[in-house]
Amino acid sequence: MSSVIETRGLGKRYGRAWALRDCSLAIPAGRVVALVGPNGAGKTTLLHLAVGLTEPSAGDIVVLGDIRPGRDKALTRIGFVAQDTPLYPTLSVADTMRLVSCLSARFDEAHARARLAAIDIPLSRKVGHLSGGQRSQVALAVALARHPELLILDEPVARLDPLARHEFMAALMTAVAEDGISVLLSSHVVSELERVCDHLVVLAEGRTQVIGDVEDLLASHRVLTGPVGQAEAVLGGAVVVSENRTERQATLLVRDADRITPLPSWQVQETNLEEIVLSYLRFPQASALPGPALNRAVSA
Amino acid sequence: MTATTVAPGRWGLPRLGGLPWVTWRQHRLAIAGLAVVFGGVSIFLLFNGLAMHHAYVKTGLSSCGNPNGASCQIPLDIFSSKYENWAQLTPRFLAFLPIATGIFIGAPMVAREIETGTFRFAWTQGRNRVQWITVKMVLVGIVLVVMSLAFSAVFTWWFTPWDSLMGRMTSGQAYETEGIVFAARTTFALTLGALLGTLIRRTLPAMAATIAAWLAVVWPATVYLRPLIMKPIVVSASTQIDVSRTWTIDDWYQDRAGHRLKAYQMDQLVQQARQDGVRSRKDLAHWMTQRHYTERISYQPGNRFWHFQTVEASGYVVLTLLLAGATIWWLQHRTV
Repeated sequence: MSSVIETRGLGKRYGRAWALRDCSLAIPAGRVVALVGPNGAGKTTLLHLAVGLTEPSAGDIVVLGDIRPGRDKALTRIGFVAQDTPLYPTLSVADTMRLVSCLSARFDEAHARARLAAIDIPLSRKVGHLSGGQRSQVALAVALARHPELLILDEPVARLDPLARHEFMAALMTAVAEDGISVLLSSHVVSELERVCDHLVVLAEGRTQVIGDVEDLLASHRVLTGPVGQAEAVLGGAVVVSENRTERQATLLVRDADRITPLPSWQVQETNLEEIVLSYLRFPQASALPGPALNRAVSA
Repeated sequence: MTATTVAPGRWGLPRLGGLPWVTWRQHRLAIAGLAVVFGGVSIFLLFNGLAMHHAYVKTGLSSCGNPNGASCQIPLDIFSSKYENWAQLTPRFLAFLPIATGIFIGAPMVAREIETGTFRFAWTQGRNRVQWITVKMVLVGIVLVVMSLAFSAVFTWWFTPWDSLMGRMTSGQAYETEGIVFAARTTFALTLGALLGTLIRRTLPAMAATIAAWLAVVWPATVYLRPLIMKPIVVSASTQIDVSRTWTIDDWYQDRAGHRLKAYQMDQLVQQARQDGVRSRKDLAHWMTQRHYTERISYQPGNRFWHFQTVEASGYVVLTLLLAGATIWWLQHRTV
């Protein structure tokens, strides 16, 4: 199994509005994949489709090879931490664990206890009395204790302060390193993802705009700065993603940077993931999509 | 599908696991609240009932023969003056008790999960939402049936003196709390609330809709459908039946040809009788008989109680199952 989620022409409509449209992608296994996009881009819809909380209006989605989302086989093997980590506020941490152990066949309570003990979360405390960071840690701990093959997290750090955010991501990364699970996490904050993720999907206005390995994206994108007049000459076969021109100088963020024609008057700089993502989001008509890289035909 | 892990728990009791524990943990407060209400009313009925049953014997009402006979008049007056108010008010209030189940257990069952977002947690841990809702409705339903049947039994015992005075079909609104109709309406309220909560997706509006829908079904069913369960017996009023111990449906005069007199015809005859000097109801009956008009009565006898209860309860059981099925279908096919 080389992809954990595959979609083809996937769409979801609420009333007349499409929350997600014509989305075809393959999320590779064994990776930490970031799903990035502005609010309202359809990230949550895509994740809910993947865990079977909602059904597609168009197209297909399969998970873990060829399973329909929401089937028992899929539910058992996929961990999900929903947006704002909705746990029952009136349950204690211990009862929350017991609840999950009652709902899940693979819950490893010792695993969850060890993890929570390590970060000093009292098991008798009601979830509603925990801080946002602690609550997220509880949600992560119970999700990991189910030993999922795929862990899906919807905006796990959006509401956390920087310290809690850092601690959460550290806990997640440790777990990934230990258990070797596939992770798909959505975020509208790109800054921390570069360090954490090795694959990126950018979703904008309900469509996929960028799909690729973080390494490849970093390698193929460059920022070019030089005189406006020579802009066309320097480009060669490279594609402009975003540009910023003044009267004299142009700054171009380009893809396929290996195809540029180096000119002495032009500076070529590496860029970071955040800059690349923001450039694409600013110019929705630009896109970086590989050909349909689906490993398996998605049956109708 | 609903494997229950049974391991010894506290006090050596079997430890609940799986969805049964989830159901218990999430609904124990509402179930306990309902148990307190049922229990509290039962304790009142027990104490009030002991005194009432005692008075029923002590006044001589249990041994004076026909309750409408002259020898029973004084015991009946004493007994009624003390216990009639309770006997009239309590059943009226209790008839609405099944709605509480719909409000506090049925309506929040799905609506609260959707409203607070916890459905995203509850339905992604391994058990799918169809199993989740099915187990919840079945288990809570069983608990409610047991509780409400026990309550109906206590109530029926409490009401025994009045049942023997008035018959089980005429006991006013006691019929609604005796027998099995009460339990059937309780489970009906449960699945009605569950479905409305699933459709409306917000707890408070779902609670309000549950009250409205329950009344909109139960009230017309009681008033318009119950009389259709079985054709009433029609007899001449001169037949010696104990009208006070049956459910009298109608009472009218007919002419020699067997045609029922219309209201204006009755008015004319009553006018005429007045002019002839008729003053009392008894004299009027005599006066009418002389003119070959006969009084007819239609009624449901008390021994039809269980037939009525069974038919009516079956109706609510069918509704309960339909609503449960609709809730499951909706959760499976329509998504959040």
